[in-house]
Amino acid sequence: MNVQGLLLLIAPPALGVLVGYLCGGRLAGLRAVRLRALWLLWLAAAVQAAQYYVTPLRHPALLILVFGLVLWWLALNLAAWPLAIRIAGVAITVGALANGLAIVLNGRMPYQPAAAAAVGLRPGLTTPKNAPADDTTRLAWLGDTIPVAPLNKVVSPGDVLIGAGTVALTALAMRRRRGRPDPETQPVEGGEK
Amino acid sequence: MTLAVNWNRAAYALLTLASLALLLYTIGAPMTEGS
Repeated sequence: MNVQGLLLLIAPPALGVLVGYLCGGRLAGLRAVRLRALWLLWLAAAVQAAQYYVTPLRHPALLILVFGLVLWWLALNLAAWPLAIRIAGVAITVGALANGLAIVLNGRMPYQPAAAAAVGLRPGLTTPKNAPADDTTRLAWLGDTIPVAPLNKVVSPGDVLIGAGTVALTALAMRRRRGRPDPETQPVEGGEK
Repeated sequence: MTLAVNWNRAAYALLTLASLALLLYTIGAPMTEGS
């Protein structure tokens, strides 16, 4: 993984922290959001990393395993999160499903050649993970169609949803106060105390 | 001047943020040379 790739991974949580502070939140608020079964995420990441570095493991079945583990992790945690954070989690889930669908339907993540050329990537490039979109590509609009020039990358609408959801989740979690009940669970009483 | 740090809070915050980055690594699919 190169520096730009690393930046793309840490940018959404980092931006979420910045937005969280600007909205009066604190990093301590993250403690109010429980993350269950983190081993599922770590296992998914290990399988993903193995696919990058071990060629025989680049099989669609393992990709389904990666997405399955992540969706399982999201399903376990979404129900326990407060409403606003749950909505951010749903955005991340929808983004993941969009990416997964594009990959499953096409065998690889399709990318728009013009978008790739716009960020200086070789046109027509086919990699274990990506292939240029053409007339036979299914749901090409779910593929990598959005150029991110500063990072020389092309991202998908799913990536945008995942990134935005991550920023929102982080910022909203920072505004949580541990032990404070969710507003929707508080009984409605006349007047303020 | 000493910097007081609650290491438990810092560790949990770091773990949460790292987990979110990990999430992006697994389900994000940005196009990159050689990806």
